[in-house]
Amino acid sequence: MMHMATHQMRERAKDPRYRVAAIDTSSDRAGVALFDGVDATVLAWNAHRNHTVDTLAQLDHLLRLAGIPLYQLDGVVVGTGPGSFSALRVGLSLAKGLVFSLGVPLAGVPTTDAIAAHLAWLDRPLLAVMTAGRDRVVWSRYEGGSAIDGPVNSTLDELRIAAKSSGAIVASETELSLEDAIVLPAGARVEQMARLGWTRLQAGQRDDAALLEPIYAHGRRPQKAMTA
Amino acid sequence: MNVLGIETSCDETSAAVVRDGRVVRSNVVSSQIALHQHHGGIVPELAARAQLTAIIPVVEAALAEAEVELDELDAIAVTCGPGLAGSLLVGVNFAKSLSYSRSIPLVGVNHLEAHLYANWLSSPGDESSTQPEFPILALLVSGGHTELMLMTGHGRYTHLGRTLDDAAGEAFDKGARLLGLGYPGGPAIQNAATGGRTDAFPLPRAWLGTSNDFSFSGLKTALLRAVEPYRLPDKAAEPEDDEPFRKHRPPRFRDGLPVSDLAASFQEAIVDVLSMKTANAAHLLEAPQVVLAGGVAANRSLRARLAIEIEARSGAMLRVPALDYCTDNAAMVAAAGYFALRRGAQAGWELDVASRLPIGGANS
Ligand SMILES: [Zn+2]
Repeated sequence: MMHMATHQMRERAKDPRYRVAAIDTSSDRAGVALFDGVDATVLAWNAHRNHTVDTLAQLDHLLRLAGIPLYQLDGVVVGTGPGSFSALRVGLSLAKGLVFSLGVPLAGVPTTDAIAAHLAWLDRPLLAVMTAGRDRVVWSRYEGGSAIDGPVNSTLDELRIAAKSSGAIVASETELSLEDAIVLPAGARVEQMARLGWTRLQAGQRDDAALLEPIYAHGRRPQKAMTA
Repeated sequence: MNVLGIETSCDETSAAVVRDGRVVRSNVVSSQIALHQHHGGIVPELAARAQLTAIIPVVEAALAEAEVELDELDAIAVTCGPGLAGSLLVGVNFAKSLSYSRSIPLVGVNHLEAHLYANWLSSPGDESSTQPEFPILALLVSGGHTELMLMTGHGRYTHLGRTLDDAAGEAFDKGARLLGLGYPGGPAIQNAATGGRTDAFPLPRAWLGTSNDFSFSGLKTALLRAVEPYRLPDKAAEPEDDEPFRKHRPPRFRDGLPVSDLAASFQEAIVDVLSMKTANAAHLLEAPQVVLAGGVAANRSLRARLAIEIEARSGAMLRVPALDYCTDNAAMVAAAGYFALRRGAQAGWELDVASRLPIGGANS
């Protein structure tokens, strides 16, 4: 898309590692990460719905900590949810601006994929859960690391029933008390996102940056137009 | 100095390149009207979704049309409020990334201020036109705002009056709904009014004494009463389906609803109040320059009538933006950003969106 200065090309040649930056604004638990196939550097924080204020500043902070100039990024990874629609769009808008400007590829990674990847070592069926407002959750079912089902927007009780009938472990970013189910914390989402995105981008699987959208997993609450 | 403007405050995605705050090199607008039409108005969540998928193609097109590379930009100006938070954040975060990755200065622009700065824009080939001269009496009329203010310099505003209830554009939208004319209401009423008699229905005007404030809610109620005799009961509501965004059901009427006369009378009542009050203020303040701005500034009847009243009552020069620069666009954002930058404004990475933002206030 845009031309890179020749000295930057030479700098990059000295750095053979394929390196991505990941941005996760699926919920208040936001994060940014760098991954180069070996080292992962992660910054996670509670965004308190201030994703627009925090996220780019945090990414800048992370790049400085890691001593990585922006032009040494070979790709950008962004969490696509499910999660808060508005918060997700903060990460996606930032990611779109970065790839448009840097001329590097973009990979969107579902947030539940990252949660499932964190617990893949368990080798058990898993329900990866994100909260979706009051008393509602959005979840996908994973087996052997791949999504089998979802995302489903449901009540907590429906989730409990699904966990019980499938014998799956539940992984959630927020504390859930579900009778008869094992609930584990979701872990460091953004690092898993960076790893999954890195693998996809390395394999040449990029998303269309213009068209990439969050996963819109709806409940049943019709929205009306503004002028009433 | 080339400024890239980005505007995503509501239901248009727009990007523009403007030189020296005046010369429009490109102004690309992607409208969502078709998307919102069958909901009878703007659905904020749908607007935000459309912003997110339009932003790259629109910015790309604006740069290509202006034949400008990112590295040739001297600044990026982005609307940070007021507007729909979910829509605003797409433009603001995208602009931040561009600014950050290319080390291009960023400035946050107040959308209302940008509307006023549409009066500074000129198209290529028309670059010799004069600039508005201070002090300027400004009438800002849009879907969310109706304000009369005095602009004493760049970024310096004194409020003279504002609407106490509905904004003028909101009145047009509500009127269009009552008449079953659809969304957006301004153009719908204007079209329906063509050939209609402006004095067919004696609709009320809220003059509010010598105050510079406005009020349009009484007018809306009067229109409702005029329409009522023709109204048929709504069809029974269909059972709620899984459609996450509610469809709009327009009102149903008996035959014989005088749509044209009602629309003409309704439009005339709004135009009357806006024009007379502005012309009176121009006279009392001895303002040498009057500018009209905002989406409603595209209304032909308002443009014509305001010119007549100002001519009749004061010696002021009236300036009205070209139609393309009345409705939401990024050229006006780039212009406002240019003059803000010249005053030393610049935004950091913490630039936030603000759904409410008074004029003169921008996070910059
Ligand atoms: Zn506007």
